[in-house]
Amino acid sequence: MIIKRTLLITVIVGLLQILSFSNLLSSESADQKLVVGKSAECLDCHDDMSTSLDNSTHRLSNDATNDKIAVGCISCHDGWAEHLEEPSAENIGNPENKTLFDQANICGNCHQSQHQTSMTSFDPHGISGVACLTCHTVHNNSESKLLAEKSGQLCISCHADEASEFNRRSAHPYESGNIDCIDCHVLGGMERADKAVGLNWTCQNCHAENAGPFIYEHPVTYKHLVDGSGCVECHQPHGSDNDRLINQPGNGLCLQCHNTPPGHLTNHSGLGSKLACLECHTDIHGSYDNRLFLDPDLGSKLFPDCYQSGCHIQN
Amino acid sequence: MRKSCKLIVFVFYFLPIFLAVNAIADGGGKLILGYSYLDEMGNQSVSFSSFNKYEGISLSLEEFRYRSDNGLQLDADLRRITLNNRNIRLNLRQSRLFGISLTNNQYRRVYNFDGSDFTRRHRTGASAWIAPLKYIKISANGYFSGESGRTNNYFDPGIIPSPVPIDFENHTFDIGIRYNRQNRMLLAEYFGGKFANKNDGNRDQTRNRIKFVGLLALPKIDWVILSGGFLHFENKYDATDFKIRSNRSWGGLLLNLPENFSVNYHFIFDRTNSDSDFASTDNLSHALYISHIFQSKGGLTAGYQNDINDDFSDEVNSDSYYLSGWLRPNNRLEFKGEYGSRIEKMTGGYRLLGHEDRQKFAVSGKYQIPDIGAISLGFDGHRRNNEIIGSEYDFDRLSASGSLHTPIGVISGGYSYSLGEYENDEQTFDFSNSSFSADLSLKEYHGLVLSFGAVYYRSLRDIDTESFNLKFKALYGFSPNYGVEIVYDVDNFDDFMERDQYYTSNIIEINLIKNILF
Repeated sequence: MIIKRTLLITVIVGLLQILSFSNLLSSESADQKLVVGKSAECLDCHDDMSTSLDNSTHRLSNDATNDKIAVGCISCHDGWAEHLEEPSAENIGNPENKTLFDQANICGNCHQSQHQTSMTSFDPHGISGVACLTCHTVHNNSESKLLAEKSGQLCISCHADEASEFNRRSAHPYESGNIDCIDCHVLGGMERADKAVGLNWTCQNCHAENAGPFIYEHPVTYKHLVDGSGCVECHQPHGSDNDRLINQPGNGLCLQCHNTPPGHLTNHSGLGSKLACLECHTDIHGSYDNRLFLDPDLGSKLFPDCYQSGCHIQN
Repeated sequence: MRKSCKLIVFVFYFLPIFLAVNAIADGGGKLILGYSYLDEMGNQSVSFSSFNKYEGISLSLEEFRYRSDNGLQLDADLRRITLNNRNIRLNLRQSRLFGISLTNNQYRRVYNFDGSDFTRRHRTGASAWIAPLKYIKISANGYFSGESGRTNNYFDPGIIPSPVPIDFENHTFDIGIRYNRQNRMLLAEYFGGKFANKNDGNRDQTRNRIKFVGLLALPKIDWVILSGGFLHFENKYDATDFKIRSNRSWGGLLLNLPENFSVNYHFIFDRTNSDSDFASTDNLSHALYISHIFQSKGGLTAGYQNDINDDFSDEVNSDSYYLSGWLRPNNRLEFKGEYGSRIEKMTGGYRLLGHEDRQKFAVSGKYQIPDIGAISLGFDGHRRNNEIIGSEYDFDRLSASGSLHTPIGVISGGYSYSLGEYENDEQTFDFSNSSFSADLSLKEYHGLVLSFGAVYYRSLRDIDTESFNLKFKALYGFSPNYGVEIVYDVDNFDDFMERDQYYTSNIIEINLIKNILF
C-alpha cells in the first residue's frame, strides 16, 4: 500500500515537473524579448538591483530566450524609454509613489486575483489608503508573497491594538503559530468585513461543533451585526481575561442580555440562583433538543422527573 | 510516531527528487535538529502559552525556499515534525501556472490542574490550483479537522460530573473556477462538508454550499463597477434528514467619480428557513458609502447602513452611521480615525435585548523614519447600551508602540492600557488591563546573535491576575553553514483571587542548525 502511494505521488511530482518545463499551458508574451532585453540595459547602471530580486518570481534573467521569466524592470517602472535615452531620477516611474489604483494597474498586468480586484473596489484597506506596496515589498525581499514582513507581524504593524489582546489569559494560539490573521480575516472578499456582511462562516472553519445551524437557534449567534458575527457578542476573538475567550465571567455573560427569570430564584429552594446558567443551559450555541438550550440529559442528571412534573417541557 | 516517519520519508525522499530534476536553481533554508526541555509547576490549565509545548527531540526544516530557473518555486516550513505540536506548510507552485499546498497543524488545550484532561485539535489541508489560461484559475481545497479528548463544562459543575468527552471530525472540500481580467471577475464555487460527532450521532451533519460571485467594470465606462453574488447553503442532519437552508444574494455598485470621489452602494438579502417553523429569518441590509481621496495625501469616507432582521414574529430595524478618515502629509507621518454608531430598534414583536445603541471609535497616529525607527499612538473604544434591560458596556483602550534602530541592534516595545465596564440589572463586571512588551535584537558579533523579549500583563478590578513571559535567544554560527541556538523561555501566571490558579514553566530549547544554500 505504502509503495503504491509512494509511486503515485512520485508520478504526480514527475508530471508537475514536466508541466513546469514544457510550459504547455502558460501563455507567452509577445513582448518577452523586449522586457528581458531592455531590463538588461537597466542593469548596466543599476547592477545592484538584479540581486535585489533574487528569491522571488520577479527574478531577472539576462537570457532573452527564457520565456518563463515574464517580468523585468520595464514591467513595473514606466517612463523607461525616455529614461534609457536620458537617465534622470525625474523621468522614471516608481510604483511606490503612485496611488492604489495606479499600483493595482501595474501589478494587475500579471496578478489578476480576487484580492487585487477587491482592493480597488470594496476592500476597506483600499479605502483607507493602503496600496499594494504598503504590504508587499518587491526588492530585497524573500518573504512568501513578497510581504513586507511575515504575515501576522505585518498586520500587527498597523493593528497593534489587537496584538496586545493576544497576551491575555485566554487567547487564540497566534503566538504559537497555530493560527494566523488571514485564517480569519479573509482578504479579497466582496463582502465588507465590518459592514453589510452576510452570515459569518469564519469561526466554523475550526469550531464546527458549535457552528450550527441548529434546530433551535440562540438568536445572538445567528444575526447580522455591524461589528461582525454573532460569535463575538460573547467571545473576544483575539483574547480575553476569562476562560474560553468569553467577555465576562460567570453568569454575567448571560446577564448582559437576560435577567434571571423569577422562577429560577424561588423554585426548588432557589436552585436556579445557586447554579451557573450554563450548568443547565449547556447547549448555549444552539440545541437539537429544546428551545431553552437545556442539557438533553438534564432530567436524569438533576432530578429525574423535571420533564415529567409538568413544570418543564423538554421541547 | 508512524505519522512522523511518513513525514520524514516524505521530506527526505521527495525533496532530493525535486532538487535533482531542477538542477539550475537557487534557494536555501534551515535544517534544525533540536531538543526541548520542559519544566512546569502549578495548574497546567491556566496558561495557554504552554498548552502546546512538548518535551523531546524535534526535527524541522524551516524557511526552505527553492527557485528553479524555469520559475518553479518550492517553499517549505516543516516545524517539529517529530512532535505532536507539528506545524507544516508546503507549497509548490509556478507563477500563473499551478500551485499545490499541504498543511498540517496540531494544538493541545489543557483543562485540569495536572494536565491529564486535554483535547487535541488537528487540521490537515490540501489545496491545488491550475491556471490553464492567463485569466482563468481552477482551484480545489480539502480540509480534515477534528478534536478529541476530555474537556470540562465551563463552570465547575458540582452536580454534573466532569470531565466531558469530546470527539468529532469535520471534512470539507471545495472546488471553484474563477475568471479575472482587468477589474472583471466571475467565480463559481461548490463547497461540501461532513461533520461527525462520534459521541452523539444525532449531531452528524452534511453541509453543501454553492456560491456565485461576479464583479464587472462596465465596458467603456469602467468607472462604474457592478458586483453581486448568490449563495445557497443547505445543512442536513443525517439521523433525521432534517434540513436547514439559506439563500443569500447580494449586490453592489461602485462609482469612481471625477476628482477622486467614489460612491459605493451594496445590499444583501438572506432568507434562512428549515423543514420546521423554528428557524425562519430574513435579513436585509442596504449600505451607502461616499469616499474622497485628496491627492494620495488623505481620504475621507462617510456611510450609512440600514439593516432589517425579521423572523416573522419579531422585527429589528437598525440604522448605522460611519465616518472615517486618514491623512498622510508626508512619507513619515500618518493619522487615522473612524467613528461608527448603530441604533437598533424593535419595530415589531419582542426580544430580550430590547433596543440597542452601539458606538465605536478609533484614532491613531504614526511617525516613522526609514532605517531609524517608528512610533505610534492609538486610542479606541466602543459602547453598547440596552436601556430597557439596563445593560451597558464601555470599553476604552490606549496603546503605544515604538521601535528604534541603533548601531548595536533594534529595540522595540509596546504598551497597552484598556478599561472595560459591563453593567446590568443584577451585577457589574469591570476590568483594567495593562500590557507591556519589549524586544531587543542585537546585531551579530563574532558569529553570535543575541535577542531578548519580555511581555508583562496585569489585569485588575474584578479580576486580579498577572502574567509574564521572558524569552532569551542566543544563536552562534560556528561555521558558515552550521550554528547552534539556545532558547530559554519563562512563563508565569498568577490569579490572586483563586489560589489554585498559578503556573510557572521553564522551557529550554537547544537547536543544531544546518544552513542549506544551493
